Amino acid sequence: MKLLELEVQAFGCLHHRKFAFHPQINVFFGRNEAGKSTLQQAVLALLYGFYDGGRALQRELHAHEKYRPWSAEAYAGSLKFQLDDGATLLVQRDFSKEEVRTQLLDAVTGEDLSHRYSRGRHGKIDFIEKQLGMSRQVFLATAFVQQGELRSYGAREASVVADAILSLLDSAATETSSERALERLERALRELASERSPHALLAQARARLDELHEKHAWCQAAHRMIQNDLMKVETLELEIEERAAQLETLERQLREAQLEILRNRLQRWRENEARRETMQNDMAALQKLENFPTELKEQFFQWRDEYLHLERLQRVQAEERSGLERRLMGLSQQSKNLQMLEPLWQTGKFEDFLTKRNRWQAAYDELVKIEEEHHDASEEVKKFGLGEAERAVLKKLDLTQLEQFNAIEAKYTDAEIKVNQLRADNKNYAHRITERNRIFNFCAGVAIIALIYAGSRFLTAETAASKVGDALLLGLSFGGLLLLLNLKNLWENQEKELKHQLELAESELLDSKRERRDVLNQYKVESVGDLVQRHTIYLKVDAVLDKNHALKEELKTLEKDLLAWVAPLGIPYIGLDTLPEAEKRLRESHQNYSTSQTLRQRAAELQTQEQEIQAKLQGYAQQLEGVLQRAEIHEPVGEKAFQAFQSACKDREYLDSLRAQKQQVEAMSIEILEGETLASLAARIKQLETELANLPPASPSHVTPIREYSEATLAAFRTQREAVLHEVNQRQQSLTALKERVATRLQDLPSLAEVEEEMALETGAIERYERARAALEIAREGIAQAAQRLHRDFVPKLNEFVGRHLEKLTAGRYTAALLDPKTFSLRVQSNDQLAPVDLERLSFGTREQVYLLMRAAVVDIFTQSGESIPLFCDDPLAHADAERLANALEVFRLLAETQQIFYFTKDQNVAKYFSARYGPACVLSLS
Amino acid sequence: MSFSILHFSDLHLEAAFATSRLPAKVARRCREQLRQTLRRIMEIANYRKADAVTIAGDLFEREHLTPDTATFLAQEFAALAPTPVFIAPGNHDAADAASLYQRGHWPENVNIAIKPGLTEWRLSKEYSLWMAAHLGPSERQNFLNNFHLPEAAARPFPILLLHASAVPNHFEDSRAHAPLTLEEIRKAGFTLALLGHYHTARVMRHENVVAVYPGSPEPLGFNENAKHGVAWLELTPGQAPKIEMLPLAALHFDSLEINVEGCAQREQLLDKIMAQATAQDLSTHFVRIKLTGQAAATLHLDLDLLAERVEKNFGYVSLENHTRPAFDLTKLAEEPTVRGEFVRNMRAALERETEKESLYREALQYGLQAFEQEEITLR
Repeated sequence: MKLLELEVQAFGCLHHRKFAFHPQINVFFGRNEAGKSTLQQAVLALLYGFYDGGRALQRELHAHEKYRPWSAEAYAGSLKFQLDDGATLLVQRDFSKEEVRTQLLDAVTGEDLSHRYSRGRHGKIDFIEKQLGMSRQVFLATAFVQQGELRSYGAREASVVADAILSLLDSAATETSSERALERLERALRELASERSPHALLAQARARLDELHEKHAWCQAAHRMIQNDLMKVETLELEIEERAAQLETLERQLREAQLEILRNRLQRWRENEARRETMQNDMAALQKLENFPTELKEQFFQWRDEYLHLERLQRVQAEERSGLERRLMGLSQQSKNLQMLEPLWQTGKFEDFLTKRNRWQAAYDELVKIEEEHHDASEEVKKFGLGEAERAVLKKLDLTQLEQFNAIEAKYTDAEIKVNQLRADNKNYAHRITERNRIFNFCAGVAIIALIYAGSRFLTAETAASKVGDALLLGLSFGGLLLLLNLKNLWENQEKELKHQLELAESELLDSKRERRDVLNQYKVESVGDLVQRHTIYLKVDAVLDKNHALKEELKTLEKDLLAWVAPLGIPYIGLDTLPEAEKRLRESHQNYSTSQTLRQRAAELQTQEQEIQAKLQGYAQQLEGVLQRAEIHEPVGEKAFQAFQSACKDREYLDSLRAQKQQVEAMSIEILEGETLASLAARIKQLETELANLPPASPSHVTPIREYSEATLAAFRTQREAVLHEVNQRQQSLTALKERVATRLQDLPSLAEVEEEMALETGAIERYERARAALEIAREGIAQAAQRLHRDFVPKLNEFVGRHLEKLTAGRYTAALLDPKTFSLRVQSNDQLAPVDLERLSFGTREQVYLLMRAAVVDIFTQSGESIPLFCDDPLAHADAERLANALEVFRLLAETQQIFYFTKDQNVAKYFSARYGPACVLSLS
Repeated sequence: MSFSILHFSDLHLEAAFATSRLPAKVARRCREQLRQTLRRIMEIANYRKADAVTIAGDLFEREHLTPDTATFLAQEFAALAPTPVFIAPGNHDAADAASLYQRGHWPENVNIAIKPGLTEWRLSKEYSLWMAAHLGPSERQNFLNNFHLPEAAARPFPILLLHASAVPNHFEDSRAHAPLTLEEIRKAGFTLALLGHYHTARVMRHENVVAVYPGSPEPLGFNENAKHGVAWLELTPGQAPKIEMLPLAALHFDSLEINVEGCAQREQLLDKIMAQATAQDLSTHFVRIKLTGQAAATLHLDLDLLAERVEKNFGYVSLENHTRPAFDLTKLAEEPTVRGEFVRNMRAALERETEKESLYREALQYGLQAFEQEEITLR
């Protein structure tokens, strides 16, 4: 696009100005306040207007008011421009009102082209955005360099510019951008498958499918329940049929039982009547026993039992007595040879004999033992040589004398010990005295020498003090000598005393020795102990002899007594050989005697008892006979009579029982009829038989086995019938309820097949949506990746453009530029440094120039991709030195080959530079 | 004296037409037609005075069976009495304990196999039927395993009635329901087998064995567009059976393909579809139309709208969009733009991801739509 003409009625300080533009470069030259910036803003306002969005912003209103002219002239202007395709358009704007009037006309035909573009409020028509492919914001950030504005982009500007470049690169058609495409895909994805939105198609389809699944599950469950109910219905119907059959069988069995019971009753009545007749006949036959003494029956049997018992007892005793007599005769025969002993047994006892005999045996054994002791004692006496004389002397010796002799012996021994002790003491003392005398002699000598020495010193002493000392020594020596003499005297006294005691002891020893010798001589023994031993032996022998004598005497007495027992047996003496035989025979005789006596006594008792029994028997026989006569039994008292009486008793009892039975049978007949008559019974039987004939046959599986026909059976049948009827009713009710339930469920139940079909449709829709989602996601991803890749491509282009012109601008000092596409921050490669240099480290002027190049590079990219874009620069090289300015202007000249440039400056050199190259028409002077 | 049998199978009463993606309202019509078809079969048996009716399984779909259908079946068969009806349950109407076959009230002329072992049922003095039942929906056993007809001097001619898959050999389809071979039928002692399971009618022969599949009386989806009906057999002792296939189907499922090329706008396409409907008389048919070819940029393919416009010319119609958009992809790929890069990438992916070709093609179309249009139309 190239601007051709600008006409301003009034805009800020500009009034009625018209400019025709050079196609390549236009230099607006003027001093400060000449209106250069206003003119720049006028072009901007005619291209983009003051307003972007629907609602006027404060800054937009402010800008609109800022350039409102003070005069009453129209706040308006027009701009003619030509597109790269040759079309010439004219935009006219009237800024007088807030609602700016805007027209876009074909400059050749005058056709209003405004309708081709969307209109907004405040006269907004987006023709320039569409034609240049950049918004006001991007235009301001790139092609429209205002005074003092060459600096690094802020974050927002960088983003906007980057987006604009990307949008430009997105498509050949500027209205189609990857961002829009991505937005559309995102929107389609959201509408299709947003996870958060319940209104998304996929979510809705899934929700519907879930509902259908639930519905399907519910349907299946309902179907299962209906199936179950139908099975129950069938079961119930079968059960009802079963019970109906059971009921029929029960009815039949009930009637059969009733019939059987009636027949039984009839039969029982007939049997009862037959029994009654039989009893009647029996009772007639037993009528003769009418007067039988029943009341005496018990008494009779008691007497009978006593009578029979006594009879038996009598027989037993007779047998016993006979046996006793036979035994007595036997005993009499057996003890014929021992009869002479019987008087003995009448006065004495066999135990007395045994006592004496035992005593004799003991005395005899003791005597034998004493004899042996006597023999031993005699031997000992001989051993000690005790003759008669000695024994006579010993006989006179008593115990008192022996004690005296022992005392003499002890005295002698003590005296001897004492003498020996004293002799030893004397000897020891004599030895000690010898030692002491030796010491005494030495000490006495020393004392005497000291006495002599002290005496001589005293005598020769010159001083009183010496004399006192010598006198003291003399006294001590004398005292010591006296002490020694006393000790000597004491020792001699003690020695005399000891000798005197020894003499006395020796005298006592001699006396006791003499006394002991007299005793020993008297009994001709060696010692008193010997005498005591001899005396003990003597006493022992004497005691044996005495006991021997006493035993012999006792034996004689015993033998005399025993001879009285054994002599009748022909035994002449008592001895060890005769006594056992005697004892044996005496024992036998005594036993026979005792037995005979017992038997005789028993025989006597039996005789007495027999007499008593006989008397009792006679008494019972009379009483029994009386009863028999009353019972008209003419048999003598005895077994036969008793049997007859017993038989009569039974008959009489039978008669009584017949009477009772007859009454019972008669009562039973009444009971069997139960108040009915035979005719009514027969009629009922006939009626039941008719009913049974009309009933269907019984079902064998339902027949209840009957053990007996009774009212209980009937009651059981009736109970069973009631129970079955109850069950049938219950089942009928359940059946009706089930059928109603099935009908209700079926009424509300959707077709399972239809639900499945709906599910299949929804599943198909979900599959379609899932597939569409997958495809949309692939498309989104693909576009995003493509955009990303292309976005990377514009950076090298920018770097190349900036680097190319930078080298010229800096006369080869900087050779390359490195742009960060996110922040649009630049680094430059220096010739003398390996690493790139951050732009912020360069001088202010250089920085401005590099930023100008970067903007030009962006404009160049836009120009290459579509419509060429005019570049507006308001004194961009104000801080450049002469050389750098020359280089920069050369760069501008190059840029002007591809795009129209509007250069606003107050620098004459710049005007001259371009004037020289493009002619004076390119310089527009503002004043 | 000849003996006539009307043999059919796989009626699938109460079937759901879910796999064909029929709307419930349309599928309901199909189900009602299945009932009418059974009634028609009974009328044929009655009219032709069949000596017996044999059903080789899948008479109904057990899961969807209603008491009404159960009663309907019983009444239809009762109306045929005294002509006997023999049923060998299949996998869809398996005779398990809770099955209608085991517990329902069936007329006395209905004979049902409820055991998995083959048992004999007397048809006449000269003929007897050997049949067995599936007891579950996934019966895989071969009913002829270790089976041979008992030796007898003079026995009636045995006919096999089964719901089974006749396979060339047991290696070809190991997942077939109750697979058996014609050779096994021969070895078991049968020369005539009345079978069911395959929905397409066929008569298979092997040496002296003849196996008759009558097919389903009605097609049950778009994949079943052959002729459907029942089989009529005339048996004469000592002669080969005469087999006649009686077409019966009242339902018709068709699949059409219509190329949208040359249709710059909707009316042109509608005319094309209606021309097809008129030419083939599809007014009672269930039709699935697949739109193919390159769709002009101006052609707006709103399938619901299209279906609504043409539905009165069909029994039922469903449309599927398989068209390609009219983009010059080669030219687009040359663009030095994001769109060009996107097209290049997608074409590379299409060559790389051959298994997902259709998905990537769809993605490409959506992507190009996103560059071109404000709204993206889902396919």
